[in-house]
Amino acid sequence: MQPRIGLIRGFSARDNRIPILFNRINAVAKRGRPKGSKNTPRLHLTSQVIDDADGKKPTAAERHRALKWQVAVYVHGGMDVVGIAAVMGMTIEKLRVLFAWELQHGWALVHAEELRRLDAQSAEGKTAATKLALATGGAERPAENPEADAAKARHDNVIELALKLMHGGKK
Amino acid sequence: MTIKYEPPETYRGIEIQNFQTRDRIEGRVKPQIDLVMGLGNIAELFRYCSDVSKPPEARLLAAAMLEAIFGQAANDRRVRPEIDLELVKACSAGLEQESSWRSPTSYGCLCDQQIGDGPEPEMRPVELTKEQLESTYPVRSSR
Repeated sequence: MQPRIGLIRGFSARDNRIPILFNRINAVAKRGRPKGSKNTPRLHLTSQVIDDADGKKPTAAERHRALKWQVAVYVHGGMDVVGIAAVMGMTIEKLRVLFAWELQHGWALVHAEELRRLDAQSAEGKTAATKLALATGGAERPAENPEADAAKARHDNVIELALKLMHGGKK
Repeated sequence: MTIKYEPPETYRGIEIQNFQTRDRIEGRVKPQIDLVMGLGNIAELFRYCSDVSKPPEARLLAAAMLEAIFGQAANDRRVRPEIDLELVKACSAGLEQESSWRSPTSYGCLCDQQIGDGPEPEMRPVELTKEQLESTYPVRSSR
């Protein structure tokens, strides 16, 4: 009875008792690396080499996080949605969908990060940072009413949509 | 003496309809558009949209805003406001400039009627009526 391939330990595919398989394996070994652009090693320019600490390209999530922070900084700086959309190179609708949280709470996000840094420096024993932290301890966001802001944004959005509807879906 | 109508223009993204005098555009239509843009209440918008005495541009805007409010609620997966979109569309039907149902004698649709003691449609000056009739329904030459 012939042994079945894969069932008996020590059985080799190169066994000359299977001439067809043996010839195929030899042919592949002779051919070497397969042809085609996807199998050819690519050369990179020096400028294309990533110099990150990890030596890795940022992932999509990391890039998105960076953009979120950017939007929060713009909001903290007092820029309006139209200006931010122009800087980011996207439509207002897309900006509102992708960065809704940052548009709403951008000021708080950046302010919290600043306070965290100040606190870290203060903990290190930097007196100036401690003084500043104490001075800004009671600081509040200047004249703001989140509910009114949200309502105004919603109303602006309604007018924008209405104008779009009146023009048959075009701006 | 013929009243010259102003060429169509756009105000706050809304096209002002033709066959209107400059006085009416400045004194009536534009302030009404401003007024509607400030409205946020659904009931007020619907009341405005169904009021035949109001300028058609502003009524169309009110109808579009109601539709937008409904669409926004649907997009945000919120509870839909109680708006009968079909009724809104019926109230604002035939008000467009290109519509063949546009009334030559009044600022509005041919179907706009005074209901009871309610507001009545604002009448168009006779000269403009004649011009609009000629423009909307050109006389075909018989062979």
